Amino acid sequence: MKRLYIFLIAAMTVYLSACEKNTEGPEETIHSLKLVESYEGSNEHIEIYSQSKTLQVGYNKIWIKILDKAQENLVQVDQGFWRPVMHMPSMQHSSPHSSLVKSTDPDFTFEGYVVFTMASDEKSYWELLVEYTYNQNSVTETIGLKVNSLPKRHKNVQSFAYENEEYTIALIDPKKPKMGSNIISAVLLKSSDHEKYEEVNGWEIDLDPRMPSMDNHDSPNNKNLIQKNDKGEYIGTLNLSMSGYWRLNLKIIDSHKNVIKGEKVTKENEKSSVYFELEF
Amino acid sequence: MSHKKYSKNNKTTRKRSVINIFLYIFLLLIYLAFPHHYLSAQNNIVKESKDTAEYTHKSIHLDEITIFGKTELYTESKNQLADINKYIEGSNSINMIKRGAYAWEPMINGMGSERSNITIDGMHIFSACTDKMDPITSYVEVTNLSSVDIASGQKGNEHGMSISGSINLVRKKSDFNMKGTSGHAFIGYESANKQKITGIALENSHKKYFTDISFTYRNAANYKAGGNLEIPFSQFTKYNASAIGGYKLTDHHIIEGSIIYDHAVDVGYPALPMDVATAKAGIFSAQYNYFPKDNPFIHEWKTKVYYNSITHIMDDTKRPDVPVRMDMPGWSKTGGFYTQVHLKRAKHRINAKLSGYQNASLAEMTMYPNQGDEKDMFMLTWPDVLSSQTQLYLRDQIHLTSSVQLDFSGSLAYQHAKIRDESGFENLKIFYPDIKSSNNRLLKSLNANVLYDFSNIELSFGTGYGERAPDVSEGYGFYLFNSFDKYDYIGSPSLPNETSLESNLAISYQKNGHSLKLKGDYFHIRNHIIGKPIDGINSMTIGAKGVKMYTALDFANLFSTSLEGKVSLKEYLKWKSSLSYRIGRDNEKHNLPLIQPFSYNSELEFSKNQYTMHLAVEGAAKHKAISTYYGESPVNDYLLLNLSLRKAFNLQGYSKQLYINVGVDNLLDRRYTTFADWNRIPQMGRNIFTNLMFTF
Ligand SMILES: [Cu+2]
Repeated sequence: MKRLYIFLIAAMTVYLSACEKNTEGPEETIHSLKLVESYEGSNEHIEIYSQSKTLQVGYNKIWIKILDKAQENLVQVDQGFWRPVMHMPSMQHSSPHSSLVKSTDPDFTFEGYVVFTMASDEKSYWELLVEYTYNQNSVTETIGLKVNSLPKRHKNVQSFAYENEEYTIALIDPKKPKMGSNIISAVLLKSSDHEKYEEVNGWEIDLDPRMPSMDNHDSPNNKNLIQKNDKGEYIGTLNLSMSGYWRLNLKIIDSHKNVIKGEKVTKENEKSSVYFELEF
Repeated sequence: MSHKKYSKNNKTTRKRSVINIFLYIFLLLIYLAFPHHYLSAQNNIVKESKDTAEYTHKSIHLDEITIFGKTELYTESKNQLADINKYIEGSNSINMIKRGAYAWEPMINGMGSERSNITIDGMHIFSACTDKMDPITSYVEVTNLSSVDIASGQKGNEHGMSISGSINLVRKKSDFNMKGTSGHAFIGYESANKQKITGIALENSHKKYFTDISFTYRNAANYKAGGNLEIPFSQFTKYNASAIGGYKLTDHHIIEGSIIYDHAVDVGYPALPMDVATAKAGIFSAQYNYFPKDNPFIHEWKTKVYYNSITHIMDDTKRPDVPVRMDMPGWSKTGGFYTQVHLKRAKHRINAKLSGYQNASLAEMTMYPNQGDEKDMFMLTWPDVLSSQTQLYLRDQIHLTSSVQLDFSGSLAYQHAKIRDESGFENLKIFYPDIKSSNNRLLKSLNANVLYDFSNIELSFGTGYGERAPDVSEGYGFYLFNSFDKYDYIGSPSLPNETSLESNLAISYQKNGHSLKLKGDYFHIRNHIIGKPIDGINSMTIGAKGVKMYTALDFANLFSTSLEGKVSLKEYLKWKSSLSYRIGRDNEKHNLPLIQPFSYNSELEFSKNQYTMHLAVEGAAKHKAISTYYGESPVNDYLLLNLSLRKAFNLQGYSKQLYINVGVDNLLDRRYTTFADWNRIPQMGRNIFTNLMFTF
């Protein structure tokens, strides 16, 4: 009888010890900004921050610190203005960007975003022109920036012309796509002179993600991007049922429900003329 | 796709010969016109082997079907080296879904493996294939087994919570009988697929211990369907090794250990778009048996712990012209225990069992893009689901009088299921944004039967209620392509339990070696789980028609009936026939898929002077009640003629025997397909088998 009990206890132990292990908690994303560039001005020290250590083609959120010479305290400045400039051997041009506003974070002076439309290389380089008023003096500094190119199949920005204006759509999130539901967000900007850019409000971006390598199948239950907050960002739901390469076909729909750019994906038409790409 | 090729061949089968129709009518006439007085002329009841434990069902031939006897399985069958699929198919309760020549999926009472429990010595084992290519029966060999206990409906509730019933594969083992070393060796060949079979089994039995080991090897090329049509990707190779040992601590305490290792490689599934590179199972158990000496109640107390691990590597590397290369491996690991007492008290025979298991099922799909530098496409098709179940089972058989017996049983089980893989969980949230990663279910089962055993007549009737939880595919499957209806399937995590209300009736009449048995089983299933197409969702699999989501139908009804007759024409000549038929409909009167049409078989057995000869016909009527609604395609009638002969030779007195066995299945080389053939692949054509078995 005793043997039986021992056996029973052993049996139960095996059963219970097979119980599940604790799964680790959700990955904590620590929001710490990284220094991208620092610049020695005549009277101040300027530091440029971003979410990653480098800038790259597409949407980049940028924070700026304007410090005193000792690099200890932020200095009091007014009226920020900026302008990214691409210098190419034959020409120079700007790039879509937000206006430069006072940062909501007390550790920074200004914040805003720039959509870099191309990468720096040996012959072409980016500069960021930053202007502000310091001690009633207007200051203009020009800071060189390195913008990295994107790997293949990671297109995250596209421009197109419509009614004499140039529109640019740029992907913000997901930066790290995962299988399942992702929040997708993008900005839509327009410009008539390639210098001044303004956000387009009240439109809609139709989303149709596809996997070109698997007969262009789609994914279910995506939600079109619409503006949900006053930041100008368009937000929707992007469902990725597999890992791999996805083409996010888009249609840009204006406030009168007219499709101004992009086509429906069908058997015959593999992709829209405006799209993003992801690969993970 | 490959199945298109087969539909053309079906037309050829339609050309029926006159002989066929003739035989068919003849057989029916015999059946209908058979006079009852003929059956009641003699005495002696045909009883199937009763050497199973004392506590199994009394009327074993009414309820539980033991397909082969305790040790001499090969003497019961027409082809002594047939694989287990063919043995199981012999039961009227069972149909086999065939996706090729290997690993057929047993259906009990017209219901697939998700509604049944298949266990080995009471151990829960769960398949690792999302396409049902590896039913548990594929991991054993006939040489491992002493019997296959099939219990219909809730009579099988001892082995887990199910709707359709249970199949328990009982392992063969020696006793402590001091017989010393014995065993058998065999070798065989089958012509239709050039199958080579060989194996050996050694038993060593002593006063204090026994050890049994066996090994079987099968290797088959593509089989040929009727008319010499080669069915590509129907090859297989299988190795099976098994060991079991027992040690007698005292007269009342016995310990046992057992291992099965089954390894199949290069298995083709012609009805599916994918094959299996390897299917591996390691099945381990340890058991403790206690037989109290002078205990007036406890007769036997058995306790077992077990673990099994299944690896299923499915891919399409051998298929030409696939749009995208794909791997779909799956893993299933189960650990569990049970402890069971048999009690005896006056008129009561009580069987109480506490059991539990935990299973982890994970399957994934990787697609390899044709553009070389692109990243592989990957997802989980089973999101590492951990299912735990604890079950309490009680059964009381009350012998009211010598001829009346009541049989009550009940089970209560608690099931917990949890999605362990984060990405799989996130993927399911695409469809069900609010799901929780785990859920709990309480499952109940009740069964009540009455058995009358009069001198010539046995009558059994009863009713039962059962519940089951959705299986991993039904609950959590993600874009699982079903090549039968060409839909991608999505699981539904919040499906309700499927419940079943059943009633059954069996009557048998036996006299003078003749017998007639009529059986009927009716199931009313509520929340019947089945896939329904959903609009607006597109398939992922290239070529699929759309997406189906598992949903619970209000109800479905299934009815199965069979009639079996045995006649002793002469002492050396027996005639055996059976008819069976099923109906299955959903709540909107749509036919359910894979429901057996009117089928029959009839055989003459001649045995004299150690010769045994069988002449058998088997066939089915045209399948009219096909389920077009659920994607089923038509099936024609067929009739086959089989022939076999075995001769036993005694060597060295009676201590050794040699059995020589030859036969032909599908003698007329018909090209035919049955209702249970996946994508209607034609079945084996003329197959000549020859084999030798030497027992010592
Ligand atoms: Cu498989």
